[in-house]
Amino acid sequence: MAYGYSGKILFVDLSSGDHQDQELSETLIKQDVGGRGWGGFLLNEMAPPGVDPFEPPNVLLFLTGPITGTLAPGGSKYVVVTKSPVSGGFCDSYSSGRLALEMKAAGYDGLAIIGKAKEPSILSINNQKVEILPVPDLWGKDTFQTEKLLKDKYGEEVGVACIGPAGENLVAFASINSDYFRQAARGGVGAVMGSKHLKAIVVKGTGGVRCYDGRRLMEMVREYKTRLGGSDHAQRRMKYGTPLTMNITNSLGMLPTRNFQESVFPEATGEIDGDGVLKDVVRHRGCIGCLIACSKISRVEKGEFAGDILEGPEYETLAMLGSNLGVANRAAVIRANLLCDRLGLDTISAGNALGFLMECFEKGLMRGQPGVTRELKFGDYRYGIELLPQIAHRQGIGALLADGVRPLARRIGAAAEEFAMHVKGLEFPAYDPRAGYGIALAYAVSPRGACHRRAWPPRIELLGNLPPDTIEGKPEIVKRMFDENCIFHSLLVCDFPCKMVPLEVGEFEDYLHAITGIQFSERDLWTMAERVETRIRLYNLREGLSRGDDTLPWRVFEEGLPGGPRKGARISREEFDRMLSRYYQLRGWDEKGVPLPGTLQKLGIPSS
Amino acid sequence: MKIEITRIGILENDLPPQSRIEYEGPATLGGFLGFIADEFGPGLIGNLLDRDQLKPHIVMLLNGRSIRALPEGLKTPIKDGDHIILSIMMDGG
Repeated sequence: MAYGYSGKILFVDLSSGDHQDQELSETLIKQDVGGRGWGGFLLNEMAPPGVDPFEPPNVLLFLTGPITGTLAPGGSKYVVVTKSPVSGGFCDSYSSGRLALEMKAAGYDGLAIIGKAKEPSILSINNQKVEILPVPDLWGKDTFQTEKLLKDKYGEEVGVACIGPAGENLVAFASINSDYFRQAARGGVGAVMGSKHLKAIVVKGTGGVRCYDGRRLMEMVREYKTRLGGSDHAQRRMKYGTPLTMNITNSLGMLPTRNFQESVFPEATGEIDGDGVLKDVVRHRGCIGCLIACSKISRVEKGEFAGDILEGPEYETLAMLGSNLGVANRAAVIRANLLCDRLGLDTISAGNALGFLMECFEKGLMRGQPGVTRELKFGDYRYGIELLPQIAHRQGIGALLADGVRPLARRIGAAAEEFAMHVKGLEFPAYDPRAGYGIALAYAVSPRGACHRRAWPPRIELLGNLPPDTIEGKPEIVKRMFDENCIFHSLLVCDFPCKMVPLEVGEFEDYLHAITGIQFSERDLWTMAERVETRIRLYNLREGLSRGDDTLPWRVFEEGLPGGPRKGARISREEFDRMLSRYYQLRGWDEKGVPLPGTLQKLGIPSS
Repeated sequence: MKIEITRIGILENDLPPQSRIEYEGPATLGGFLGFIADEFGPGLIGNLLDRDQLKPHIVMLLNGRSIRALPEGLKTPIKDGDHIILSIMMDGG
């Protein structure tokens, strides 16, 4: 492949130690573009039907896209794709970091890893030199220690992806960390890496991405920079970052509070919201090559957690380890965030697990459960923080939480399942779906489970021109947003440069042509998204998921919000079913969510 | 009438984060905006509106409802005790 792409994926079998380069077909490149698109295809092809996610044949993919490693905005992302141990279906989890750029510079568009190393190992890639090296001394180290030790050995300029104790112990919400503070965290990707005895991947490349028309690319980047400078929207989001989202979710009554029992948390104001977080920010930071710099470096100056330094906290963490636990102590959230990062835990699911446990205690459902030595109450951040290492090491009561909310709820019984906030086993992100019916649909139909990355309907139904409490128009906006994000996540460009400046899908025609020399039309990209979403649906169907899995917890249907601007809001099962059927119809799927033969034919997907 | 107003991520130099404002004037959203512009700074309107329309990246909520979803828009009536939120558009978190 001459431009943009490397044109090959490194295939590694950790069991045998074999590795080989595999060419990416021109059809795959042109039809599925990269990232999520390739993930949908390759997981179908490479993961044997019905494989146990923790068994060696499951594949762990690290994928880039055509934007990765170029000067185009937001081009330092990668995605990890695998069969999820949480949902049993398709999982994609996104991160950013040097790893993505080094993979491209080493000559690889992606890595496909199967097998299981005999002992804890790292995968070392230095251009075309590929080694699987035992690292027994690294096993047990946290992610910061691991990355530091690897950089001490291989140099600061390497890309690293590693797991912490949570991944080693197959915790269902274990993350993969890069650049210390960046995580591919959702869906258990870190646990799959741990199941392969793969502690880390270290990549160094000295090549680069050849662009078809570098001059044109530079022109576009300069024009983008001018627009960014003139965008009031972008400037304000750069100033506050994602924490500002809490100001609006709290105001609108959609902020998870005390395990989604409530949706407003007045104590958050000025403490764990955008205004609060700014008080601790010592500097702003961007991903490599990004001009937005939405990330913040926070430093706790006083109190019991004084001295903690964190890149973050981001909105999702502030909500799930803050309001969702009844905690408004910003320093405590920062400490919990820091611990999750070091242990290799997803902050969203960790917050859900702790919040769920708190409610179980509150309702007296924890009697007789193993490992219970004392009660965890809402607001008790000290005990919550104490439990995080126990989760990562599967010790004490942490062992109960380590498989996530769904298995624990099933263990406790039906009363607990009513408020186990998950879809397909993946715990809720930080938006209460009762506040807007589009959110409810987006959570339910997301292939990996409850997810805020496929669509963000509040933009339209709470902040835009559709009312939140009707179903009309919601399937349409959810599908449109899914498809748009599928395009961005296949190009593997960060959402924020696209949505804040903004950069429209159609503008990527020019970017793609300048980078690859291939003339992708905007229409090609929208069709690609349809193909990818249907292919991922086929994968989930093959693995046993069905319409019955595209649903929501009891609480969303049966308990109205107790207060706030959306007081009383819940969604009826009848209205939800109508939205779901309409969504399937828009996708060209039947009532059971099975793609129709005509849809497959239109999208060029073989019917077998 | 008394109107509660919250600003989120905008107008830091014009308005306090939260305030309750005593208002006598045309009982519409647009009328109230004109009033606070007179009171707090004429640049305020230019930050929010472009030819009498909300700028695409600006959000205005009346009691939790986006004015983009209200049929009368800036002509929507307001009353004592209403809560107005002025915010930057959000795209996720």
